[in-house]
Amino acid sequence: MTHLPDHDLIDLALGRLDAPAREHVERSLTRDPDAQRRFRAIRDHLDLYDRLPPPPPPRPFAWIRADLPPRQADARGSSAAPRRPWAWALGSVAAVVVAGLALHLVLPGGNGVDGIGRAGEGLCACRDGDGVLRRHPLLAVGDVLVAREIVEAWLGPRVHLVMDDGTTLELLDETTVRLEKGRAFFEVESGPFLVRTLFGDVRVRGTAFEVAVGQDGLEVRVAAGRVDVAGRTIIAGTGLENGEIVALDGEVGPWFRRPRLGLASGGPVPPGRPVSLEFSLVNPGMLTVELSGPEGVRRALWLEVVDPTGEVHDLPVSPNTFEPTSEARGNGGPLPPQGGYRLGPHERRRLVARFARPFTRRGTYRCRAMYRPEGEPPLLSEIVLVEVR
Amino acid sequence: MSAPPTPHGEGLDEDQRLMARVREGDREAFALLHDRYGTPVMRFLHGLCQDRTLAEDLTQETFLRAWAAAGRWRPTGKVSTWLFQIAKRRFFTRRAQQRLRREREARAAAERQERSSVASPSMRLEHSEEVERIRRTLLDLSPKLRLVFVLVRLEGQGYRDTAEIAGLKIGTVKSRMAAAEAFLRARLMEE
Repeated sequence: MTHLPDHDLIDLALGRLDAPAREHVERSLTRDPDAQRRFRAIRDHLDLYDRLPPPPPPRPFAWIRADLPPRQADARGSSAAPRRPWAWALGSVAAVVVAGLALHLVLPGGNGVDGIGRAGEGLCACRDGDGVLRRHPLLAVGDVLVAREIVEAWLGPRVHLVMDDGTTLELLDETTVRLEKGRAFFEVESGPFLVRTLFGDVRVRGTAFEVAVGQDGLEVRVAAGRVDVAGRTIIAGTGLENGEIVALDGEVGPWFRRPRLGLASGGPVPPGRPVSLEFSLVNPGMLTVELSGPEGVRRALWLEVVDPTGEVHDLPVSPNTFEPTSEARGNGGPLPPQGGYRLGPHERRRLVARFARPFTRRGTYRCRAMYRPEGEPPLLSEIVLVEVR
Repeated sequence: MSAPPTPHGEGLDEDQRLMARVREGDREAFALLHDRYGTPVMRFLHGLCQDRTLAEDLTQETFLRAWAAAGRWRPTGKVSTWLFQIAKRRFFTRRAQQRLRREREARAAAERQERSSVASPSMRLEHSEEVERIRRTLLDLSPKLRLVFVLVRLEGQGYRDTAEIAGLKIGTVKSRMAAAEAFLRARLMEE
């Protein structure tokens, strides 16, 4: 006698069986007293939920209408070829939504990948709290992954990542993510991939690297391959060792810190108040700072150098440029009394440019800084310093 | 001012034509969509969380999210399934952020105190002991099983639609439904 599984009895109780299936199940029931008893129990149980009252209605649409942001046309979606979500040419894709799920850490390349399709299937999966490999619905561009615990995920067959607890990652494009905060280790098999952060972009082509975004900056560690960080090239194994760390500061550009105005609220600077700028430089190069405002263009007249211990050194420079020289405290001897300032490899320095003549005219003051690392194309950053009112 | 509806192709059902207008930024079409699916989404989320305020919040989040994502919507399936998928994700996201049951109990206690003197017959029924027992037991079910049970039993979704919303194979839906039913039955019939 065939044992009737519970899901057949459930389907019978819910009226989900078609006529032939219903006949078969009912016929089997007549010969199986145990199944009859189970069916009655299941039916009585499922009937209980008819006693639940209807839920309350949702809030009126006016509540939602007030919060609706203006919709910008999706540029690619409005084209003749509709934009596809994160999809692979070879077929259907499952992507992982990790929000709210407790997942186990799986080391990159280690256990936990059995059963997950790779290239060709475009499968994205994660291991859930029960240790079960799950397939998730397709992630659409714009979806946000929020890791509540350490999470392993695959975005298509090319990109494997491990996200720390508290990491928030948004899909921007088929080859682009935004790392809003937290830490994620990426392994990109081939092809371009871009991680955007508030402090800079990390552009890779087939490599392994880690990106951590905090409140004050961005840290990139290269495990293998080549990583471009906001225009600065960090090559693992070439001049820089594997595990090289570069730290980028500031809210504008990769190495340009928002000026400290000495004001608690950061409001408009009263006329006459000087402005300090801070730069974090990683590699040797030359820094030029100029200020433009209602009075025209003005160059930095002198620099304060803050070494890693926090000690401030005055560094007289030429009216137009300065050249970083020598090592700094913490990495070698004291700073030179004058001249330029040069960084050694892997050295990080914070320079403070103070414009000695205060801003006296009302208007917008901008700061432009050009940093020319040795052997590299120059980097340019420009920000609005203050609005003098 | 909403954009004029774009011409729609053959073969789109009514919901899909509505979504096509939403995709173009038509807020009136979005209001119609809310009229049509606000209650089912609310019912689904309420079934999952058994908490009115939370279900209201999640429903609102679902539609805001749907609005933001409408530009990427394509008529490849049911609009209802798409909305339920968004709702499901909102639920699991929120669940991870809150201690659901603890807050619900505290709120229920406050609501019971507030409602004790102002109770319509339907409200008294809502808070009957049996209903509360059923709701408590639903919350004892793991979220993964609860999702399937709510969709199949409370929402009356078919196995195929449930599988699509939950991102599972149909076989997995059936096995989870059976597991959920067995768990709930054991708890409710024993008490």
